[in-house]
Amino acid sequence: MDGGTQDYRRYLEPKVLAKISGLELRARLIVEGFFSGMHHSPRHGVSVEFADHRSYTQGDDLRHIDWKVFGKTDKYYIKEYEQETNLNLVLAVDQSESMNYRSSGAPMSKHDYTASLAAAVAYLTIQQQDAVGLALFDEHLTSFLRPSSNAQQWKILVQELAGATGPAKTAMHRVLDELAERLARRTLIILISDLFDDADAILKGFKHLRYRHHELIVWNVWDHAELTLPMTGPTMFDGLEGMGRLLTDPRSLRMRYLEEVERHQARLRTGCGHMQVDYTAFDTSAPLDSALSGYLATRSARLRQRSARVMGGG
Amino acid sequence: MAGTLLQAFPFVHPGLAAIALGTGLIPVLVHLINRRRYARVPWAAMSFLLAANRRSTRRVRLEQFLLLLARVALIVLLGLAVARPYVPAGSFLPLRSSRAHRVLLLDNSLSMSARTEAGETRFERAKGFAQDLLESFPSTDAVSIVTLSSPAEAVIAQGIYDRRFVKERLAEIRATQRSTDTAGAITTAIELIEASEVAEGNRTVYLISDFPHEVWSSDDPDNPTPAVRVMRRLADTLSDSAVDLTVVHAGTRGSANIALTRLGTRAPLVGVNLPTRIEAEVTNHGTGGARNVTLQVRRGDRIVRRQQLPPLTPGESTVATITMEFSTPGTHLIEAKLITSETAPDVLPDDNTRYLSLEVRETIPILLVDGRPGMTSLDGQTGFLAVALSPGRMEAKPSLIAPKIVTEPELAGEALVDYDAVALCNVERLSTETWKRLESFVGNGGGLMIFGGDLISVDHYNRHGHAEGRGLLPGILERASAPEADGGTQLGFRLDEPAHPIVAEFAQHPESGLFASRVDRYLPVELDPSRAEVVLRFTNGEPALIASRYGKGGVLLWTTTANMDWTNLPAKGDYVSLMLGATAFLSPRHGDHRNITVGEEIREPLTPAETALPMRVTTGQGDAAEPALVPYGESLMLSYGPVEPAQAITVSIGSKERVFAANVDPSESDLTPIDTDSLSTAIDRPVRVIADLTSIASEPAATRSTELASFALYAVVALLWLEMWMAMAFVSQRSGSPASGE
Repeated sequence: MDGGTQDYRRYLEPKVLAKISGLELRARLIVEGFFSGMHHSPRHGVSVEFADHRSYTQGDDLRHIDWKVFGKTDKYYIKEYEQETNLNLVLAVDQSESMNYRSSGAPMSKHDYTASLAAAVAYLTIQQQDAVGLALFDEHLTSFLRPSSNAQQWKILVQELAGATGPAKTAMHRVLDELAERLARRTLIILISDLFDDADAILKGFKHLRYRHHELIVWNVWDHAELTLPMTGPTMFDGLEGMGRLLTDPRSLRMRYLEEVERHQARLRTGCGHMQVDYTAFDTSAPLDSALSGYLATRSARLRQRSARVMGGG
Repeated sequence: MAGTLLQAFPFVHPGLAAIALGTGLIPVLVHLINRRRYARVPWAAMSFLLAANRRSTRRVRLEQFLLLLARVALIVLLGLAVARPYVPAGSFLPLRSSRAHRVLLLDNSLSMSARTEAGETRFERAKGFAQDLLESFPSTDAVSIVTLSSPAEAVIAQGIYDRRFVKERLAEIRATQRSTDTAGAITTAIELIEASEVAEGNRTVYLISDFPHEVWSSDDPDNPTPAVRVMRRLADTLSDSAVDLTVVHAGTRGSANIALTRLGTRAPLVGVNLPTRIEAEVTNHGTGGARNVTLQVRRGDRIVRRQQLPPLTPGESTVATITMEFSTPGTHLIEAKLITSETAPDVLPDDNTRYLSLEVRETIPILLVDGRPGMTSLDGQTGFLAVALSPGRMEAKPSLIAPKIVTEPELAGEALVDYDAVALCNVERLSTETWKRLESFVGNGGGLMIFGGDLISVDHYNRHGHAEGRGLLPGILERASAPEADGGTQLGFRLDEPAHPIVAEFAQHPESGLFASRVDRYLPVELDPSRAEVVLRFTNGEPALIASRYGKGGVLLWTTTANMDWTNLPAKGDYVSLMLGATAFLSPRHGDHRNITVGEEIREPLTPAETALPMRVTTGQGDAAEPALVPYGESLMLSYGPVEPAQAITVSIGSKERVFAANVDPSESDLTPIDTDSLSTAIDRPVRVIADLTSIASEPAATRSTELASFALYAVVALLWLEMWMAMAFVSQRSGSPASGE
């Protein structure tokens, strides 16, 4: 790996990324950094990738007959390709007040991290000729951008993401219900949020989306301090989203707190597993490539399932 | 509650205990201050924190309370350990004894030198008791030793645990010829006890003495002897301090002791070539009759009398009188000694010899200040007085008293220190400077006589002489008045009952010319009751002669005249006796300070001229020593001593020699001991008495209080470990591994 590649990969580090202003540039650098580490670029051959042959049946489009095979075998075979261009992705991004939290040692707030991640995924999606949309929410769906593969779509989407968070709480169930109502076609939804809401309510919302046959990827974003409670000495915690105050010695609560966080995560992870929803927890101090590779892996798997259905179901 | 606890567990240092309890608040205060000093952070994952807090609150509070409790207990216990708590006697706790402080008061006064029938002295017996007591004490006990001979001395002040050192110091203590200072010794013991490092209740005072009957007997419980009064008060003090007082009786019965209890003269003034009576008092303090006792008197190197004394029954005294004349002025030494029969040996020979230092005066100079001098010797204000003081004056014969007459202006040129006394006779007024000189003169031991008269300025005398009670006059003068005749009777003189020593001899002679005298006029006086003493009154009750003390000297105020102006007394023969008595009162016998008791220091005031002369002290044993000079008023004083044993000491100042006599205290001669029951009765409280060696062997080692400092320190160490363990355990229990992030 040459020096240039190494430079690009630096942009996956939140510490470095935080120094770059402008979400648009940040997103591009993330994607460049991500792909610079791969042996071959998935952009070559996307949407033209051969999958399989099958016998011609009446009604098939004559444009898909493999004439080379007809020349050799004198039979009509239809070439099947992986269908990519009709992927609809909606990025559902949490804009509630809690997303604005940034601990003293953290490179960026959860909102900044989330926006960077969403913008990068959107950029990658547009590059792959897929349609991408955006849903911003707190207590309600505050903004909704229908999926589109138009080149301008990404710029609009980035502008939307760059907006500030509001003072409102998260009300996940209501938001997911609203989102389900808005999406007519089967859609891949990436939900990026700290998920500071009741786990059962959240899972109920997921269930609703899955009922409508939407695919769901959940990226649960945490500040590092929220995963470790590193404070020592008497501390007054001023709760965001109107959660009140608590004066305590964090050392005396750390174990119980971490148990609570672990329980919440475990509940979500198990619930998602049952509904075939990808659940991943992110630490805002960790590099972003795992999110992108996770997305791409999910996308590939989904396309394979779809093609399998195409082949299996005729 | 706290009071009950303090009663159950008192402290050696209660002040430190109070401070220790106060320091217990420190961890609480630190906790409260920390609660007010906190960091403030915004927090998003509040729901998890609140849930954790709900689950942890009770446990965290309990942990914090336990930690705080351990820290408070740690600090308080550490402070209390320093304050040294102890469990007093009769406690419910079955604890063993701890260390004690034993103070031995050892009598080494003269009476302890008396030999017992066993051949040893009482002091040797007492010392043996003390050694046995030392053996009986546990090695953990501290010991102090105080000697009773005057002045009482702490041989070992701070409690010493090293038994060898204590025994060495005990062995070094010697019997003395000094008197007993029981009060001083017990006061010293109380001071040692108060400074003691051991717990209250573990302090015992052992008084080892012969308890002479004369000192300790108290037949009348309401009127005890001074020693018993002191002892009762001190016993109360010791009891208040929870100190045990144990009496070790070292006295023995059945002793033969005859003593020379006094040697002196009653003459007020001893002059050259004047016959002087010397008295020697001999008392039989033994339990049997005293026979064949010879009194031997020496004057200088020459035996002047050797006489057989009459047989004396137990307690009987006799006085032998020897008349002497001294041809030279200065100090003369008289030595009296009792020689007893060899068949009846005296158990205390040290009280058989006494010395007397006698100052023989050639003249007693007196300065008479005449307010209105006359033409002849009997004219003026001082004529009669001068004749009365020096009856041979008219015939130019030598006389012991040498009056010199001056006028008021001439007084300024006289050195007052050259005179024994000054008489102001109808002097109108004195300069302020003269009043100050007179105050200094009288303050340093001189005498002042003030006579009334028509010239006296009453206001001046009251302003400068009385000076609102700070001056020489013992009262405020009023203007002279002629008394009204009482039923036609002339005003005369009368005596108070009992008569003052100056006029005591007149009380035996009612026909005396004093009482036939007539008074025409006098100065009424409003007396200062605190210092004025009426010697002689007029028949109307008004004071005629008033005596008072001022500093080291004396003042006599005559409210009538020294001559015949206001009274005809000066014409009477008794005027001579009266004036001689007055002179003796004002001129304290010179040389009294040279007769001291064994243990006291020699002190000889020096004139400024003498301070430059070579000085030397020669003891009775012939040893020479350099005396010390100490400040005395405006001059210096020679000092040497304390003197021991009884002896005559010669002090040389230039070419002059002065002899000092150091004698034993006669009260030490009565050797009859008081029995232990009477001692308890006298002290008015039950006293533990040890009278023989066998009971000393079983002297209880157990003490009343048990110190808990070591227990407290063990608890401190245990709490320290507990606190550290709890702090670590609680923290590690609460700090879990971080939740998963990615």
